[in-house]
Amino acid sequence: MPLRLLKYALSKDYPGTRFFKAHETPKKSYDVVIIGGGGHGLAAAYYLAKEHGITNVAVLEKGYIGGGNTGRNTTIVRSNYLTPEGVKFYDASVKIYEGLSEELDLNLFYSTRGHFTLAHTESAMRTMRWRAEVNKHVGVESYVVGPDEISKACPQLDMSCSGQAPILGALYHAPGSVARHDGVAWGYARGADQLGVEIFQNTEVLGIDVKAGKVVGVNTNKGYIATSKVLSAVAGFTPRICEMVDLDTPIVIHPLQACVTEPMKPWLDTILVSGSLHVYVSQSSRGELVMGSSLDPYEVHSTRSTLDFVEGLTSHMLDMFPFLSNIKVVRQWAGMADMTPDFAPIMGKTPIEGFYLDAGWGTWGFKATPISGKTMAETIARDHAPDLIHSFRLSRFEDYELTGEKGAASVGH
Amino acid sequence: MKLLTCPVNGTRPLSEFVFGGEYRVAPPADCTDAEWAAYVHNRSGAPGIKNEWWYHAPSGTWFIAERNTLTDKVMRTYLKGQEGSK
Amino acid sequence: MQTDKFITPIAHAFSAGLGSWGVINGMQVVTQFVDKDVEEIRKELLGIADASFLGKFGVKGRHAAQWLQDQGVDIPTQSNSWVADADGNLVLRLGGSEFLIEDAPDGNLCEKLLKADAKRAGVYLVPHVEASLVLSGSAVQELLVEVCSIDLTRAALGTQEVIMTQFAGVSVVLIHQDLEGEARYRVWCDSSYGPYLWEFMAGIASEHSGGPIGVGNYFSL
Repeated sequence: MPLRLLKYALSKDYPGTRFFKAHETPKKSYDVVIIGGGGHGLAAAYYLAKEHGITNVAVLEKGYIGGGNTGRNTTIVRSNYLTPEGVKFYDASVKIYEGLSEELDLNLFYSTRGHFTLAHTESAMRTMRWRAEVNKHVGVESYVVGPDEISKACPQLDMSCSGQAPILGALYHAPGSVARHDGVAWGYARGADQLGVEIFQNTEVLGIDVKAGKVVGVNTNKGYIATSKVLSAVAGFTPRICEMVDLDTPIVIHPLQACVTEPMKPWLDTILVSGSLHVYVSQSSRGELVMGSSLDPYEVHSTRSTLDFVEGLTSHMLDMFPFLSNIKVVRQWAGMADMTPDFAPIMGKTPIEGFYLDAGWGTWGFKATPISGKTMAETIARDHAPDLIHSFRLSRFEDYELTGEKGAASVGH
Repeated sequence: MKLLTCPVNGTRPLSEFVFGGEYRVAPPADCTDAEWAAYVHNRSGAPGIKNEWWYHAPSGTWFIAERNTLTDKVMRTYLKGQEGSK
Repeated sequence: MQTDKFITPIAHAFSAGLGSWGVINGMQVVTQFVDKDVEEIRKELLGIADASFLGKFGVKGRHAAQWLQDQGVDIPTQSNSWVADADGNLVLRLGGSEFLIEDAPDGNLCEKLLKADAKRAGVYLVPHVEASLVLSGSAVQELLVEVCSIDLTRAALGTQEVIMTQFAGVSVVLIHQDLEGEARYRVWCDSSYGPYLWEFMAGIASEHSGGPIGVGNYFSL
């Protein structure tokens, strides 16, 4: 390995194979233009090419691929949601993830850890039992466990949480996993590229051309591109893209922050979540504890992180794991979460013909990357959303048919 | 530490305040169902200078802050009905 | 108005067998925590006392100020300020149109106001059962900077200013009072947070060689 590195360092040309071609100038037109080169956009491009034979596709990324929320989440993959619609959808995602490293021929470090959602109150226990029953009904392996089983799976955990919030039980979700999130973006990018999709980095969309209620093209900093189908997969930038086509949505942007500690020897096998203490934590393959918390409390379109966040999070971490008091936090960051009122995504067609939305991914987007790519590709190819995402359509708000996932989608409310 | 100025109690750390969402005006009672649904659910999500409800928890004061949601800079704060005054 | 069934809202912070208990103004309180001499020293350094037994009365509304004046109560003219009458009863103006009145230890203003006719538009009674604390001592600023983010020094506060802020995450009302040549802070918070705030502040006081003391160190009872 060091010799190979040395060879790379001394070579004037980059000797390795690039993951995807470095396109600079877009063509005059494409069948489909995807805005956003994160996991979702790239997965949609991949499945458009692979499953629907639509390869004349451009992915436009304002920065670099996987640099948005794809690279900012805490990499947890799970399907223990609250509504049958949600559980089915995320379960389909978990199933694709399990075989994705082989399909993309890239080690995604997909690691099934088991996932505990801790309950510190009777009312939380009630929600756990509810989620367990819904999960079992749909065929997902989740069940309620008592303190003994939690303690056995994680002996380091202070079951009394410093006496502040004793743990009464947990929802255990066997398929809960973590994965290398940037690997997911790069794997889909390479897969799509190999099938003919063109990926443009540093390419910003400045406007979307709509004529008579139909998409006809997009304006970018690299010129005009004619197209009849545009997919917006831009998470925290969704309201700005929607403004270009004059489309109102319920989406509001709140920052969501996360941080990691210095690396340690492996000790935390499972993924732990505490709604009451506003913490989720797992140990990465590098040995760092990856930790996240609840949303920032008000709307800001920024990825700045705050001291308040680390202070609050670490104080709750110490309630759970007092022995971590000498461990340092080495990095923190924020992503812009596109929140919806019911904590479910907004996917599918919109009132503007040819404008498709893959948005409202708030704090639950990474785990849905494969299935959202797959279902959005189908929606675009057939101009009809599959049943699996019917409950996530934009028009559900006008129909007052919300998909209430608040009890399972994030922590701290 | 971020600071916010309550028009009654003065400048305080942000932790003393609760965000109440954008200041919005309801459509008239005889609006269409679609207009009402849009009012109930939709928000002006794009960044910009917005008027927002904020609550100073220790004193129970609701007021309005004019804030740029892109830069998080607060232009001014005032009590409802006193927009004109400083 | 109170009966001896009342117990101070701080009670949950007191371990069994702590100090000596007594009934003041119909409320069970700890009258003495440690030896008199030790309490004296604590008071000089950083004393914290429970004054929750003092009678309280609240009123709000657009005619609340006028109504109080009609009852013969001197009210502060400025928002967020306070006055004490000749008997030592405190009248706090919380914002523009809400008032909190706390009796002096031997006062009965609150009882009088409760009996007065307040059935008038724009006058609304507000029940008050806050935990009420006294802080003083040479190290009191050390405590205040640990629990609060804003400058609460004597210089920063006007003489008659009422501050509504948070101590250790708990909403409080605070005034600074010079009494008989001695500077003390008065703090009110929701009674359900009383034990938490007491434990938090008594802990800090102990770090500065101060601590809990009987309220008799502050008021002649």
